[in-house]
Amino acid sequence: MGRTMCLTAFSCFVVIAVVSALLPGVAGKKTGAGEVMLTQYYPVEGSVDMQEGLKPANVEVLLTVNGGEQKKTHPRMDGSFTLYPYNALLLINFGFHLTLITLDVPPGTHLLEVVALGYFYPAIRVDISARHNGKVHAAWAEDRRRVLPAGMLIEPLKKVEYFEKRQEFSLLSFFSNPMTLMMLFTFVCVIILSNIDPETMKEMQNEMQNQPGLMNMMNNPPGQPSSGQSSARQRPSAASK
Amino acid sequence: MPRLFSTLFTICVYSSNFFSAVAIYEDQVGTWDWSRSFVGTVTRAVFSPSDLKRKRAFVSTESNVLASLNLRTGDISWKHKFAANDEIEQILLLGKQHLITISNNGRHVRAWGTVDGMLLWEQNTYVPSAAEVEGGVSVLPLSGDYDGDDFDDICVLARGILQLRSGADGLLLWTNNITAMLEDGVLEGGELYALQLSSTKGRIDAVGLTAEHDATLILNVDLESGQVKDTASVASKVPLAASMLAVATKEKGRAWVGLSADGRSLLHLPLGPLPLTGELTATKLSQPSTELRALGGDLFATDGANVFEVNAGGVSPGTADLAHNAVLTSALTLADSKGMVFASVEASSSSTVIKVVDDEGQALVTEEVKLDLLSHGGIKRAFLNSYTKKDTTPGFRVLIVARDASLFLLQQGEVVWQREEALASIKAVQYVDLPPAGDVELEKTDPVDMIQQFKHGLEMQMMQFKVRMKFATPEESAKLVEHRRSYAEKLQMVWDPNGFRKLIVALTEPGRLVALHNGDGRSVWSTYVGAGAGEPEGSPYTMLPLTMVTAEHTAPEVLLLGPGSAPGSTKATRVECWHGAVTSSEQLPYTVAHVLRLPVSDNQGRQIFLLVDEAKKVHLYPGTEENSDLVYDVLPSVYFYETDYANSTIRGYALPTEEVGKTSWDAVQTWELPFSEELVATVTRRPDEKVHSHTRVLGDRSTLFKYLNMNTLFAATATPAHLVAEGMEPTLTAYIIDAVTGKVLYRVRHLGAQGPVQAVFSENWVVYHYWSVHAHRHEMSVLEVFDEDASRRAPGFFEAALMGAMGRSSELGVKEISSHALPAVRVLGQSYFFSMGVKTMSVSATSSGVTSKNILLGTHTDQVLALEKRLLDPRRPTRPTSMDKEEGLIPYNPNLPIIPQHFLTANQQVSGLRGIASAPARLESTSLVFAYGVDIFYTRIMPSKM
Repeated sequence: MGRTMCLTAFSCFVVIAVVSALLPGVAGKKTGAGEVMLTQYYPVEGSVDMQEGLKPANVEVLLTVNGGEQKKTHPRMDGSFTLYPYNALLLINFGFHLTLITLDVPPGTHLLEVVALGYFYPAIRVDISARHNGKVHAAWAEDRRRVLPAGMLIEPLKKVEYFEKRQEFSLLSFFSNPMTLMMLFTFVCVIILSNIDPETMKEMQNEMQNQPGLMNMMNNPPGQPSSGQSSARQRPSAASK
Repeated sequence: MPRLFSTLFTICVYSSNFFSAVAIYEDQVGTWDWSRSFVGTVTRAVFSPSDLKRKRAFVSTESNVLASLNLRTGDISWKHKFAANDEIEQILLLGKQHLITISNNGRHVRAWGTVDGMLLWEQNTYVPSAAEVEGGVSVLPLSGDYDGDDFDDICVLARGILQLRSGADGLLLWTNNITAMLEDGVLEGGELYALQLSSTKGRIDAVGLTAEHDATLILNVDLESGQVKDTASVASKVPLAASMLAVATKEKGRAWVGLSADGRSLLHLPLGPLPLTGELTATKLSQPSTELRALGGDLFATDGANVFEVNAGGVSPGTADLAHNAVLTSALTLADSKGMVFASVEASSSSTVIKVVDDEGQALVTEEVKLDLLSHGGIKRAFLNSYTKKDTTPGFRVLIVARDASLFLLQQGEVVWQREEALASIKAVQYVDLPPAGDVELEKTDPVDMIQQFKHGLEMQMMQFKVRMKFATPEESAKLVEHRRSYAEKLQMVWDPNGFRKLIVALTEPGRLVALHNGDGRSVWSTYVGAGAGEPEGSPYTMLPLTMVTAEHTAPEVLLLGPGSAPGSTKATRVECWHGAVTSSEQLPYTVAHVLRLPVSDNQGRQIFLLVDEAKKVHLYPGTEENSDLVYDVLPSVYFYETDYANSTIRGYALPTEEVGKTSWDAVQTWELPFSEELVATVTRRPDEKVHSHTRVLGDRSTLFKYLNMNTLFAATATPAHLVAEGMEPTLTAYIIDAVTGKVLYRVRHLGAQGPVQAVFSENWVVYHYWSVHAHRHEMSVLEVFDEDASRRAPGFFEAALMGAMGRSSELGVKEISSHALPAVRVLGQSYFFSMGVKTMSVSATSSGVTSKNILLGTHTDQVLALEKRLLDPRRPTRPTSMDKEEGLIPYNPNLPIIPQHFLTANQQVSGLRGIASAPARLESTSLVFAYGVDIFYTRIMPSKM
């Protein structure tokens, strides 16, 4: 039964000088006391430094207005100029990778985030001052000393790897692998053995048979005399030496 | 021995400190995970012009998605999810490259590239205004260029503001606040609803109603300057229905048409040159209508597929012979301008009949398609599109939206493709076991060709080697992923001992119940459980497990509760989960506000429930005498609580116990907990959670006992928004409450913090996420509750020795917990910064709870992040001692790390993410994770993997 309910999004309203309610860019809100509070809305412009492999259509720009309502837009890539509604601002967009964002937001402290899979962009704290006619101050949310200059070019902090990196194949690591060492050792042994002359080989074989191997031990428990056959074979080889 | 164990543990913890527990390699994609993409229930559709090579349908949906669908295959070529408060209201095509959307009460006008979905331009028509002007949102494409850029422009009407905007870049050419002008006394107040091209060249008409809905309002506006050239108003004898008005355009003469407020008559006014003269003439309708729909041109339709032709001469009923339950499409103009045509689509149990009718009422084409739409609940909407066949005659395709949100494209008497869009709005999820092998055949399996399989296997081994050695081509890598996705073993339809294979049964908003195989996400079966054709809207709102742990050979069942056929009743449907068959359906004569699961099953192993109605009357379900006897013993210990978000109150109830043999009882309120602040979130433990260890052994060998009372509730309250707006300091308060007695066990205040709050409660801890106004960052906190009862402190030496000798030392100190005798509790808490917003939160579940937990976060970027619980441990020390190190505690850091490899969704997003459902596999190490929103995503994780 545990239900979770989200707080309905809300935004703060700031009192400024009384402006005509009909002026575009201005909205009023009736408060309980009957007075009308007015809020001026301002544009937030900036650009996302589009990295290689990013499509503007797949990049989202999220703005959390005063910790409540969320606005969402996408960067553009048309290279032409854009005008803020109500002919307030004229911005020229240079270059291919520069893209532009326009949103209309009330004054306050907002959080601007760029969502692009594959890259990590820092969250930007955007302060819009009602007193200074919509002066925008933008800085990193997690490090306020990193102030973004006007134009607000948001550059990615780093490329994001979503997958675990496979270890690079290298000869050194290959040869330091104990398994490889064992295989090499066996290989070397085989080469050496195959180059031994048949006489020595036979001798070694005989010697091997004389070793009290595990099978021998089981067949002839210690303490019992070994079979005559093996001791018979032992003698001539010893004599030849 | 314990010393050795803890030392080993420490080593493991430290060696794995920043190694990812859930990360995968890139060439492992598709091994366990899959995703499916959806758009939602289509509400509007426009088609790409027929002379374009790429045939697309552009749709907007109830899930607030704008998407482009490939008309040949039905695949999504691109899509955008709009923000929740930014509802799409109209879409239209402007030229071949621009798709215009208008959303959020006409506030945002955007143009999207039709090919790749890129945002071309975005403009706002107005700022939120104090005077909440009612009125329509309308956007009219003009077949003319007014700013000299050789691009057709658009005219936008929103909240009484009329604007002419350039189609190429959305620049404002002029704006005219007509409502303000009306208020200034030029005309009496009123609202404008629709825009129409005027008969006079270079002019448009805006039509509306006066504030009292007693007269029409017509404004003639000059397109060059935006000046209102003429206004007119004609009084009506009957009140008019708001928004149900339109203008007919045809050479035969234009006319204003509206629906009366009672829906019994159509009102008509010929539109000559202004000022208007004459009267509104009323035409009685044969049956009352709730809607007046402009099909296009001079064609209008009311309820029951009654078509009217409207021109300056008057209203004349259409002559086409259409079924009353038929759904009509909008009209379109044929390419060679033979006139306008529309289609009627009619569903019957065996087939679907499409009639394409021209404006004379003649049926041009009648097609019968073998498609049973009644099993999809009937038809909701239909859209008509025409194309030119090879023999230059017009051909037609119809896009049909069924009431279960399924989308069909019909062309030349055939279903070209279909999409199961119900899965875009999943409400509840249940994991179900598959049947054992050889018993219930759910799917026919082909005999295996050994040689073929061997060759295939060899090929894949080669490819895998190539990928590992990094000399595989992208095609080969894709083929490997494809092979991994279709790996035969995980796709089998039988029970497996590890419990990896399951069915995911999903209840959806439109009333379709779908079972997905967790191997590849295919729909195994799907059943429509919503309202049938002709029945009022309404589909089951909750799904409950009825028999989950059953004998092996009987299918598990779920219980669905939804609105009944009569008001104030409930429909209870039982569905068998292997084939999706409805085993029983009954009407209960009460509504259900809460469902309580009793720890009792009947003799067939079915769970017994208590259903609580609005009047706090508690009903036994299934309400039999037998069950009444079965539950008699547990009833005295049944307590429940209700969260009332509107009044920020939690209330507790108990059942009276004296009556025997009854199946319904009146609950008695036992406690009430009103909060002074606004209640924003509550969360409890999931009832089927398994806890392995009841204790936590610290570095100094002392023990903390987890407080594991199931009836513990977490609640969060925040300062109401209006008080914060007035300058009050925001605060967030977290409570841990006993849900039986309403006692507050613990309370903590976070100064300068506010909601929304997302929380998850598991074992003895709560993790919650909120927004810190002070720091201007997201924060997460953890609270852990420990039992500090005197009896816990020192288990007797002999007792400990005895239990240890019996090998049951883990049960040491496990005792019955009673809410009526609450022990002293110790609550440890810690807070951290977290750099992402969170939409939904869940926790990984394993079969017996030994494996460590991962907190699954649905981030605001629509990704799923697994966060290790040990990062959210209130015992993380600031200055770690050797004992802390031995315990495996990570030193405290105010920032929670976000490791990209821990995004379960890796390089994809789950568009519109709303929920995460986790279930245990039978193998303790593994947890199954299903995330759903508009898209769905599944993977499995091993939270303790090192």
